[in-house]
Amino acid sequence: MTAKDRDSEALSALMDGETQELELRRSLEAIAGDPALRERWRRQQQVSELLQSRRLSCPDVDVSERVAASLADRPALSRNPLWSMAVAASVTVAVVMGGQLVVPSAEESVSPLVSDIGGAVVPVMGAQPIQASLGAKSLPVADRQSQNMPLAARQVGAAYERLAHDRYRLLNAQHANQAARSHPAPYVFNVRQEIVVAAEATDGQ
Amino acid sequence: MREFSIQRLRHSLSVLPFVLLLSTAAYATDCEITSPAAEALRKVLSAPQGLRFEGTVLSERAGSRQFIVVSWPDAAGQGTMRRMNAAANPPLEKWPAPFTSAGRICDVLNVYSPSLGKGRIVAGRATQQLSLKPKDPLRLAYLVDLDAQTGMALAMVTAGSDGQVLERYEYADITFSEVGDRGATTLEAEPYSRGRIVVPGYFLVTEDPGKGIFVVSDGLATASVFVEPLPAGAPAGEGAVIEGATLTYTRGVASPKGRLLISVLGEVPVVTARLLADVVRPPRGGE
Repeated sequence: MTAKDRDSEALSALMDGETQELELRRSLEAIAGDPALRERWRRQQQVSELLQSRRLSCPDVDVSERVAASLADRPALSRNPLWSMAVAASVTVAVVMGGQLVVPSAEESVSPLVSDIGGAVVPVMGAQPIQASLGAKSLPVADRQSQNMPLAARQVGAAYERLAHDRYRLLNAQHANQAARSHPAPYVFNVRQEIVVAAEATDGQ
Repeated sequence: MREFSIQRLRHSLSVLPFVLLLSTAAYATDCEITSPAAEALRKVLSAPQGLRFEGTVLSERAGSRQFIVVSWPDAAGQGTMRRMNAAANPPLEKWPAPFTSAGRICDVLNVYSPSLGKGRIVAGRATQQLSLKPKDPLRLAYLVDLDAQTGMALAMVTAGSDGQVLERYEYADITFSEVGDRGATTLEAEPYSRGRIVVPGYFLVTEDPGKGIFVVSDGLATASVFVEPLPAGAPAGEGAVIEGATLTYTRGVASPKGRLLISVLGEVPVVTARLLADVVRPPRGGE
């Protein structure tokens, strides 16, 4: 049996919900790296959806490249004037719902109870100390918390994460100018902008 | 008698919106600073007014460790800094004076609970430790080591709601000059524009609806909201990344009323960014 056959078999098992977690991860990685396998996955999803609901909600579900292409290199801000910000309605409900949505996944909650800052645990308001992470990272928003979410939803989420990173690089200086004056140490916002410059230099290499 | 009551009711209703506006604006500058912790916060927020200093700061965030030399103030009433990690002859950079509005502390006390603890030695100086714990899940937490003598923040940690350190800075050394040594250092109270509250505790600081740019603050944390049209063909979705304490959240909204791309940048949790994105409204009549 070739590797491609194994991937195809794993794909079938994945569609049938018979995949173990480790195999699931491997299958998803294989799908992501193989356009043919991804096309087959898409067709199987469509067939499965048709069988289950007798309708196609979204025939073209492989949207990640389309999103990236559409949203990349868009420096211009709004062409539509007079946006407004309303007062939040039903805030209590929204906060509760939001709080539930941003609960870290089980995978992320197993960080070791140490800090790498100054060689000591940083005490913060009675909270349990956890791994001090000063690196950039993605955040688990609703669409990407579960490996069981459809691949298309996770691809859209990944595209929006990349977009968020691009928007940070594009808009951070503008934000920093506004935010610095409310901070006890306004110069930290200058420092933040250097990280962006350094990151851009790295990307350009 | 009945007609009179209705007239009074109508009058009351016509006045009500103004009353609400006034009360919203009034509470922010009307608070009592009674506890030692609140007094410590007042000192932190009013620094560096009345001070003159020069020092070296270690700043850590997003995998980066920077040493910078800062001083305050220059002849124009601004701060200056040089990055010591940079190549030879790092350029002189300016940093702005913080807001010194007296009402700002009331905004901060409205949404954070301050507590004061025993400090440590920072840059060879005695400090007190001020914890700013958020009263709701809409903001980050701060741990400040303030100079026991001047009240200036000599070290500060920004932490997420789970206690995770997002970024920090700390003075390695600092020298204060006597006020008046080289001219006056007391700034005029800098008012900050305080608009309507859009999300609990967060009020509009500036807005440019024509460009789709809004800035909100709770007196300490700030978030900027940028609104653009969502490109044709792009599906709705959301994503977020965090660099140090700065969150960037993007949301694409596709509805009959319009297609928006909303970006929120700020030192805020995801839940706050989501709420801020929720309150963005398209122009009347859609796109």
